[in-house]
Amino acid sequence: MPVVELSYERLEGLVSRGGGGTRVSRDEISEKLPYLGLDIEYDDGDAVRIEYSPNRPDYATDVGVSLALQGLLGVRMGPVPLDAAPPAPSGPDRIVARRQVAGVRPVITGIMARGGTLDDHMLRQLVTLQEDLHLGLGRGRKKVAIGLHDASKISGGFPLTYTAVSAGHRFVPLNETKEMTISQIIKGTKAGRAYGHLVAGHERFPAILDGGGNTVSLPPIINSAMTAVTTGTTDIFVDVTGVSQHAAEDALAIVAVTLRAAGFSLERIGIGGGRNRTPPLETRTIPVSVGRANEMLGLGLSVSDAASCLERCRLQPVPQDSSGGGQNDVIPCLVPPYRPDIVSEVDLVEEIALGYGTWRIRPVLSPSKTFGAYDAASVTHDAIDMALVGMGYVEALNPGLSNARILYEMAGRRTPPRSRMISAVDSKSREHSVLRDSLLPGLVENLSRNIHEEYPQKLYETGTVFLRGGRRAAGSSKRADDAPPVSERMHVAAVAAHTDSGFSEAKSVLQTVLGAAVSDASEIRTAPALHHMFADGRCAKVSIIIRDGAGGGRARGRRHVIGYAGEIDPAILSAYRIRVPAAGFEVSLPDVPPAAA
Amino acid sequence: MPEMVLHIIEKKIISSLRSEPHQSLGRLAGSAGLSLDQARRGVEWLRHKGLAEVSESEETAISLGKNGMRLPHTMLPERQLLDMLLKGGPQEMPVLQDNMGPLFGVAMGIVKRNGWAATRSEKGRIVVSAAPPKDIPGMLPGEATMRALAGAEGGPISAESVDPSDLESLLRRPELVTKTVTKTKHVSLSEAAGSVDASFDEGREGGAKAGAIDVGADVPAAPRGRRHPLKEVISEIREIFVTMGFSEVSGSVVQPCFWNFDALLTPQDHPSREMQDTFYLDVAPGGLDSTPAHTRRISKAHRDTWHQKWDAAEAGRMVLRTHTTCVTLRRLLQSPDALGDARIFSLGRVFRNEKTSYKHLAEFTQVEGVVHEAGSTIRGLMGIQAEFYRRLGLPKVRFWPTFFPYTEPSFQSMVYNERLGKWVELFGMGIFHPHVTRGLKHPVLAWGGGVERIAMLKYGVDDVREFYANNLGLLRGMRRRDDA
Repeated sequence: MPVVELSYERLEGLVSRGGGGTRVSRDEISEKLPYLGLDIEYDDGDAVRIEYSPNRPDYATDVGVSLALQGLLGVRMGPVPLDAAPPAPSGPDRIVARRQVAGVRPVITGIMARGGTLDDHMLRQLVTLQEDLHLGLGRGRKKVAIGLHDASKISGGFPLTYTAVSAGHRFVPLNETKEMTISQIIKGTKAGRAYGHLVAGHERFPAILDGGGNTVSLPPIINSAMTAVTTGTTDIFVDVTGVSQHAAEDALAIVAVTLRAAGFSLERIGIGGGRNRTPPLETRTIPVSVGRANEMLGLGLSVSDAASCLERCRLQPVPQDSSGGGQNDVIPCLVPPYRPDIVSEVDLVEEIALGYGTWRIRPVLSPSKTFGAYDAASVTHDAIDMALVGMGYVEALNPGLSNARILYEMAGRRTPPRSRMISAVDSKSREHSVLRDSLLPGLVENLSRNIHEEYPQKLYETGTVFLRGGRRAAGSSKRADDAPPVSERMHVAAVAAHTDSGFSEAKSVLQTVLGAAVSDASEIRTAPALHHMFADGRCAKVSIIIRDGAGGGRARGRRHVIGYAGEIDPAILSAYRIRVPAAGFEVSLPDVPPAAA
Repeated sequence: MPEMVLHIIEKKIISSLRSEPHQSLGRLAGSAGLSLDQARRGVEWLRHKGLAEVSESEETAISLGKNGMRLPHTMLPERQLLDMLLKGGPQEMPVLQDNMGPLFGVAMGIVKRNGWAATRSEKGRIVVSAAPPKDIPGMLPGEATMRALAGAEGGPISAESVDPSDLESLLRRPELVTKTVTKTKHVSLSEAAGSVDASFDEGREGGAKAGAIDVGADVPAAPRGRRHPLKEVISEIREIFVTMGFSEVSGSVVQPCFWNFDALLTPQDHPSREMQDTFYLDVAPGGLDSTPAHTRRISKAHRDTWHQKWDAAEAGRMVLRTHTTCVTLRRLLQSPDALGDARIFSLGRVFRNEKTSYKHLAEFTQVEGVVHEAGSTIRGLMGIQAEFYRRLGLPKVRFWPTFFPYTEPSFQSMVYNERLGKWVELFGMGIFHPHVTRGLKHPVLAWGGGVERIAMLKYGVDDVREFYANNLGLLRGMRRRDDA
């Protein structure tokens, strides 16, 4: 989640502005910030670091946060007017998109903000907003990229042309002093290396040129040095380019409201060419039923209560037409263009809750109409836990996403090709890269981490293991031909390490565990077997015999192999530097019928 | 010196040490008529009382290694070869090879290097013959040690009982013999023990007075079995849910993107779906496991909400679930009683492709509850939350608004922690977006979050990785705090 640091002093000033003299204190501000959905990460009384949700990029600046605080604190409510002057109705378009960009990055929009003052602080806030929009809404500048320009420095003036130029096109990019070709910019600048790939693969690159043919911007990579915004800039031209008109206009509206609230006046610019249009920056009307809001929230708000809640969220409920008569509880609400997060009625219900004040919503507990029940697997697991803990075992918890070293290399198996394991793609840590197909390798690894602890050591684990190939989970609604590529099973494994450990102990503990977890109408058989974890001649295949109908429809007296028991191969122990012998078992639980009640 | 009450075991040890002053622990057990464990405990008590002294000595033992055990008659392969040559005269190489099997190569190398045998070519065949007997030592290097080991059925025998250079020549060869160092404890009486009365009456052993023991003495800790502390918290949470009317459900860890993301309206180009945040599996895509009608609804909701095309192939990629919402939601939408009242919950592992740190794990446990019944409200949801936390021993709760892509409105619960002196973020909650639960009769309340966070408060743990470190000392010692 994005984080921004704000100064209380500035917030106080911004929130109190236009409040008719009411001065809002920093205590009031810090108390209300969380109720806007802003998490306070750090607060030293002068500065506050807040984390905001990715759906509210308008909170990336203190002016944006102040608009919301004004509403919640009741200083100024209702809509934030953009007052964007319309373009001359018959005037020529001031930005024209050429056909050449259609296949590369077709969308352009923009706005002019004039007569503001940009101090160092505001400049930094704008950059933060821009970066946040690039990252979230802009999907790393792929969908949307924003350029801010000092309008007075566009030397060739308007109209601007949005077109495509060749890789040999030259200009001085931002933060450089010499002219560079586009190829040089992509290879030789930080921005070029980071974003060049977004337009690579085309022979020509999107560029914004001014009336004199000077380069204004090379979206989405970098602006030109010519139009750099600095402290003291009074007129800002904002361009937004991208592949989605929706997203571009949303981003533009958020930058526009921020500049407006920072004291700039807005002028819309005529835009044409391709499917581009002059940005409408229009409010949308979304109706919300107060009855529905009350039903969802559990409140008893009147229509006018709800309307005032919406106003506290800087929205514009349209006054009810009383002549319409009756008990119409639907409020048509005007939503400004900088709130693209509001799409439907439930979003407005949330706004009503926010405007009402979450701290005022009291919890209410009503009795349950249903009776609770445990999952059958949990009941079995409890029985297994009781049995093993009773025998002195300590439960271990290992990750299901383990690694080839623990599962194969150290467990006496050759590491199979990737097609035989279940690997995670591009894991950030090698430690978590392969799904486990058994529990015992993890437990033996755990012993190796505890060689300095007192012996005897007895560990167990119950958990999911993963196997390639479909095996439908019980109760799944899957059709047979739609089987999942991975099947999951529940296993239990235990290991004991001490000087007298051995096969007999392992088998004996296993018998008790299965006795506790499984119907006592079943019997366990062990037959000699080979297994990579266990020493040859000290390993058994474990089967369970269902004697009666306890198997839930399984054939009577049928033998099911459920796992292995034995003495851990001394070679495995010595590779782990474990100096005492160890023995244990691992069995699969889904094949085990549940204990008779 | 003050009178000291001694246990019968201690008296037996003292008497034995008075007749033989310096004994190994094992010998002492035998001579005092005690089990090894009794002797060990008795010595430990005496040591605490300053009556006995324990010293440790190291002994190196050798025994046959993996390859040594495979040798026929524990005979060095070079000796075997020489025997054949000395008894049977010069022989062709393939014949020898057949007789000796895989050991021939090793044997041949050694005898040639030492000049104990030579090869020559005869009509295209290679013939091996032994050197004159006077040029072959009676005892080959290492042979004396091998014989000693053979005599002791492979060992272990003391390393001091064999010639060091003889042994060294064997240790250089792979796994013929292995060397183990064992430490032996030797017990002797301290000076203070001289004046102690160690007399005991065999007939009254265990009796009232003579058998009286020092009940104030230190004893070793009895090892305790234990469920994992995190599992204890998980069980507690499970219990609370069930007593509040919820039924537990479980589901797959591996899910198609469809249920993990698309069904929850996460846009297909959303950053959280990228590989940096989600574990995609290197397996073929599975089916969506959805009904055609539901798939159509979701596809349309994506187009309407996010203004972009919805790709069914993307929805079929398999991931490790990033939350348990997919499990509860599937159960609601797929269970035949979907239209009745239902309170269900699920507990299980979830995964995020993150670097682990003291507050983040790549794999952790989540609990998730949903309520589908008439008249569900946010206030009711807050009530369930507050009651849940109260039962967990976390009475100070409040709610802040927040954002989740699939609930509207959304809140997060905060609980106050005395030890940390601050509000701690716990579960997220809200009402599922209507797109997510279309087809159900009522709006669905949902909430959930990580269990480890609660366990951290309960045990006063500040590094979440401790729960998966499987450190026995920690697992045995972790205690609940009452200021959680």
